[in-house]
Amino acid sequence: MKRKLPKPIQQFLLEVAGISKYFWRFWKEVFVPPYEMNEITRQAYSVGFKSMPLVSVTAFIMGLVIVIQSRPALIEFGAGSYIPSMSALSIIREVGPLITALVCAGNIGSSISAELGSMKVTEQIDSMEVSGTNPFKFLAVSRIIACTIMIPVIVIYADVISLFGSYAGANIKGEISFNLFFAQVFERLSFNDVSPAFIKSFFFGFSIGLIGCYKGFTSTKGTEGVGKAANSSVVISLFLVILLDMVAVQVASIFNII
Amino acid sequence: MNSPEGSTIIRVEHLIKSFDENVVLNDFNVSLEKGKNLVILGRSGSGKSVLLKCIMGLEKPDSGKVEVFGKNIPELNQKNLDAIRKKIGFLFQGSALYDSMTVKENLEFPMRQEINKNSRNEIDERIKKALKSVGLPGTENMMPTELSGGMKKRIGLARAIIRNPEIILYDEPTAGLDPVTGKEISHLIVEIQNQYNTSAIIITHDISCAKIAANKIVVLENGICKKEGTYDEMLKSDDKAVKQFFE
Repeated sequence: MKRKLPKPIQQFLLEVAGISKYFWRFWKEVFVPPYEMNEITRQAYSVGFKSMPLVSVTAFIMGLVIVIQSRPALIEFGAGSYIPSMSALSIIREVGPLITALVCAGNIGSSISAELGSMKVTEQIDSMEVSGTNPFKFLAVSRIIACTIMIPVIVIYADVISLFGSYAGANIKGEISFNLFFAQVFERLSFNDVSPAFIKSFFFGFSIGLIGCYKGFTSTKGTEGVGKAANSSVVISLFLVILLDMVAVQVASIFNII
Repeated sequence: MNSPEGSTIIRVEHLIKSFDENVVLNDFNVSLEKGKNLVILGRSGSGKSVLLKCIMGLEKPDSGKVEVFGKNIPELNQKNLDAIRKKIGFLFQGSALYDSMTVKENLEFPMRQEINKNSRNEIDERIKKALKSVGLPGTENMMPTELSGGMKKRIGLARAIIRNPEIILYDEPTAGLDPVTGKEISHLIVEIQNQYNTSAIIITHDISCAKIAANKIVVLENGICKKEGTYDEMLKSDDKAVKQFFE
């Protein structure tokens, strides 16, 4: 007697298959002309510009909180002078890329899936297809490329803002000059601290773009479906970002760059 | 090369299309002659829009033939399908204007591939001509959100005619409009037919639109062609399915 898989497992496997299909479709179409450079630029601007206010505030608070929380413990062990380097390492290696990617997954991922979902519901995607334009290439490929390029840029921006937050945090209860703080930050940082974090943020960007587009293109059941697509896009993106972060840490550890 | 007057340019034969258990089109047959407007009347959910999507290659039929200019649409590869689509304009039920683009960019969109080849001036001229044809000159810089329902339909129609198509497919052109605007759109369909020498399939349940625009009417019920004829022939019909529309 054949036994059916439980429904949640079936749905999970279908989702994985759907995402894999979109993943391969992206690589199949990304190198084939025409290249939608105008749309990629427009999307890159939109992705970067949309995220700036939220990322700025989050990054500044993140840097501030890291210093405020860790300062008492470091001072207790007589390591107060390590505050700048400790905060820089934790921000640039891990907290900066991860928190920025999570913020962008919520902000950009949901916005992409809601936009594409509503385009699908209002037949705008069909309209593109009948006018001889490949909607996947024009809408999805351009957005995925824009996210892949812009998330690392946003991560660098967030790291810088976060370091300013740390400097502010260090000056709330103590006193350290701007020059001394950043001299200590850059003294401790090496290429091996920056490069894995920078490289993994490309993967974060790609996964946020891919999931946003996949959920938007596959949304169904009218406006209710658009809301659900945006919601599940955020959930899956967050999960994927954390999963990729874990893989990145393992890979970096294998190559001894941690 | 354009098809000769009176020749069959769309031929749908034994078309079957279902979604899961629901058979939407069940052995449906219809044809469109060059220069004619064919109105397909049917109740909501009777498969009218699915028929148009099969003709445009947006839906794949389960079986049957959908021939446009002698080519069977389901068998075409993407390149040949795009070549056929260039000769067809499509007015969507909700107009389907791109929200993030101005009216001008919406009209330019179907000609994106040609913009490099043609001069900017020629494209601008075509946009102006199309907007003038639908009675909305000077709206190039407006956004779709600034347009009323009737204006959106007109801009959608301008986008449908921008590439000088031989066929225009109208999906519920008067849906959601007041009767006066609905009549204006119906008359516009006839004007476009005369001005651009187009043939059209018009999907509707609006009898006044059918009266104004149709050369031939087909009543679609339960996925099959229930009755076919002119408006006057339909008026005289004793068929219950036909009568419910014309009473």
